[in-house]
Amino acid sequence: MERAVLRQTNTLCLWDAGSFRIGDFRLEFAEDGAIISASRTKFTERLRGERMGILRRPKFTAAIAALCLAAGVTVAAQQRARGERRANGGRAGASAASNPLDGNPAAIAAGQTRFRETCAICHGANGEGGQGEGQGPNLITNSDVRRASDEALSKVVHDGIPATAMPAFPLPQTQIQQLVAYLRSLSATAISLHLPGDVAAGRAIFFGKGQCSQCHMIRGEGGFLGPDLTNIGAARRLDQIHDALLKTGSDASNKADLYGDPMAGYRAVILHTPDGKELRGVAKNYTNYSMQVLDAAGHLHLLRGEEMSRAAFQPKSWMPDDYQKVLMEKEIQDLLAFLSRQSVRPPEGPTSAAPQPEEED
Amino acid sequence: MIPKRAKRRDEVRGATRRLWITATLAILLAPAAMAQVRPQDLASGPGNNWLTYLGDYAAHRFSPLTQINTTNVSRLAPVWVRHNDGDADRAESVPLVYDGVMYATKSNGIYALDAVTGREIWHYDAVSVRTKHRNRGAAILGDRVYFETSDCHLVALQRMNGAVIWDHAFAPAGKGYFCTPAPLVVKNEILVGVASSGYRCYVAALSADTGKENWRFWTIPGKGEFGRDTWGTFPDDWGEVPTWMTGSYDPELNLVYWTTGNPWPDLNGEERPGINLYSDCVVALDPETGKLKWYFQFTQHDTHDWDANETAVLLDADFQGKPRKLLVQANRNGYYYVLDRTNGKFLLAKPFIKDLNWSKGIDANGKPIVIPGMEPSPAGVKVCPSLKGATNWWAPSIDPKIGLLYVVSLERCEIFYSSKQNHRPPNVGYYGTNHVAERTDPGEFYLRAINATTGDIRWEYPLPGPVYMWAGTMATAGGLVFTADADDDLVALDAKTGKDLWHFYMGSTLYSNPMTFRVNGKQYISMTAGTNLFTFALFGQ
Repeated sequence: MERAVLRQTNTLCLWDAGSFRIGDFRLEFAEDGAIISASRTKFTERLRGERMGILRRPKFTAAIAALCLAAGVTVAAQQRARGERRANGGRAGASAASNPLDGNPAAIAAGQTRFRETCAICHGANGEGGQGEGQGPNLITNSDVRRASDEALSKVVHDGIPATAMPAFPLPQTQIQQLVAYLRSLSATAISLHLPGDVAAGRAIFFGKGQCSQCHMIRGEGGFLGPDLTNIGAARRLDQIHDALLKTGSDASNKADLYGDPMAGYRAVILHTPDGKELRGVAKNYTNYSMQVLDAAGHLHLLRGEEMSRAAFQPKSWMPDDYQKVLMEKEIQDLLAFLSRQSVRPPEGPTSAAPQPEEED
Repeated sequence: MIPKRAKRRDEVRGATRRLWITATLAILLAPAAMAQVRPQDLASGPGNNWLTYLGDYAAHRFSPLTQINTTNVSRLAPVWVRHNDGDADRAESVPLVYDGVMYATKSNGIYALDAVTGREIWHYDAVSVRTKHRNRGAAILGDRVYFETSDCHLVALQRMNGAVIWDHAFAPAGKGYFCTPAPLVVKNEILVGVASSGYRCYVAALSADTGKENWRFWTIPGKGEFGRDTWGTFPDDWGEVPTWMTGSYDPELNLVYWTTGNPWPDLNGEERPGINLYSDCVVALDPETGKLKWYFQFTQHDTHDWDANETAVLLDADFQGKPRKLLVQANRNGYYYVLDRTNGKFLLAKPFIKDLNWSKGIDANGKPIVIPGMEPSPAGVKVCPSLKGATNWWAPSIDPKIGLLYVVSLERCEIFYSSKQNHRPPNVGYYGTNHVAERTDPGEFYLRAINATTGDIRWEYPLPGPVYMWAGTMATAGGLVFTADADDDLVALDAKTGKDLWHFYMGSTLYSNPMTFRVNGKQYISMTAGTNLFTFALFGQ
């Protein structure tokens, strides 16, 4: 499906399979073009039940363009983006990684400093978004930010977004590139960052001094209590891994939804066996009627009713909270370098999806 | 001189001591010393556990459990039901159970559940998979579980916590290969099958330890190999012949029996003149090397999509007064076959459906005597059975004592069309044209109890409803056979007579096979419907 990117100096107006957005006007539609929802617009009623096809009609496109113009944008480009977006780790357009400082650790660090000075007041200290109405969006998870090209992001920083709380920051080009590199690093999975550090030394810490492998496995080696880390580099951002290691508990808030249990599957328990032993365990699941406890030796205890009183919940997770003291700065860097490279499958290159084949039977 | 017996005892002592040392070392070295599933556990068949897709290596799907039996099955009631989030459109998975833990797959994922409560212990979603096909189940060995992803990776997981040990591609999904079957564990190898959209397929054996491919048996001979001339000048790597159903295994003969699918393009055979080996076959393979020991072809030059992937059931029984090692199969082409599994010799074939119009019978060599004019044509030709077949991968089961094989059978005819089309490469969805049922005659399912050594039908039970379902069977020593009808009921019948003893409306179509297990002395029955997994036990116990 073609994706049209309409943009001018400062904002994006785009549609593809999924959504269409101009400012706070947002359209969501399904793969076949059926419109699912439209928000904050008088168009809502008119568009409901329409199909994506109408977006291809010149008249309608003109109407959209007019709407975009009204929001201060013009039609700038049309790009085939789906394959490129994949190739660029979710970003749109061939120019997505046009930033010469993309992935440069020094630039990311400089960008972070600049961000804290300039942007954090609205977007949060780590880009997690501001508090309260009218504050800046979360730059880590916001799909518009993730999909926007480097060039578009640079323009937003440089020129601001008129009629919004986003001011212009006419910084020198290098500083903007550093900021964009930092923004990219916020939403990039750790493996894509090629984090510097001694990976072999990090591995030795994982299986040795750090005692990580007492609870965590990588490729089947290690202990049972903690989450498997075989895919951690491909599944998580660096800041998530960093915080999980050094700010125990904060990682959980990243993955939990508002109502879910952030410790689901890993809540710490002490299990008292019928023969009087005390075992460390985690509750893989528990309800009013049954509990499934995995102990440190990898034995499952499937408890029912009364038996559940043998497992006592602990106030804190088994994850140590003193790595800042136990490990030196270089050791932490090496450990992060090792963890950030863990991936079940090799990192993806630009490939096209296999066609859905026929029924076998 | 040491008496033989004493020496043996000494050897045993020595072995025990060594075992102690090994065990002590293991405890010292490894924090976990958990129960290991051994190949002999797989070979011993179901009991408390259900450890392979087909229940045991012989594919009997027969459980020795008797707690649920003909006298009390009327009290069978649901214990739990679980919706499989994110599954493909239908759950075809047969769960495994070991030591009270159930391993149930979905498309590109696997769950470990507390088998008694259905509560999740862990789940694993395979990463970076772009296709979403149905999945039929897992395999278990040692402290690991294995399953195939839609894009043909074999994933090995730690059984207790679902941690990934490895994830290895064994077929290129980019060329249209896709994978659905439950893997088969043979000794220390994991055997996997594949399907494709035209490219030739194979059975592969991967090391259970490392995932390294030990051998590959191509279902279509390569250049210069025996049987290549059965394809005319058809390109070498075309023709498909998929291997999408789990094989069976005879540990004593040390032979793996794998069934193969139809040749491609499915309904147009003009470009592939010849009998198209090894399509629609059962092949007997050496599990060490993948070398072909023998093959038997059910349908030659198939143009009706009659894959022979139906389960090959291994049976030791008297055949015409002589004890023999048999391999039996109810085939999609409408005939029930009995072979000698030591050498593939044809012994007997009989139709197990009433509407069979494409052949006059099977000759002394096991070849169908084909009636001319039954090839798909531009004008259309009515052929029975239909493309879906007289049966399909719907698992049969056998009660070896009663000697009856329970087969879900479909009475249905279809108009098969063929048209001249230009040569098309694989992986573009070209079947060679199409098939249509007559609206007046959608067909009907029956459960047929076939005398395993004579092919005679002892009894049948209608399984009415719209013919969408794809459900198989399980027999138990409680004198029961479980199956599904097309009106979405799970049913239990008297295995001897076919009398209806119990049914339960599952609320959606059944696409899988029932299984049973026991935990803490209590017997359970599990079966999927739609994308839900149900478990039953006797009410009030």
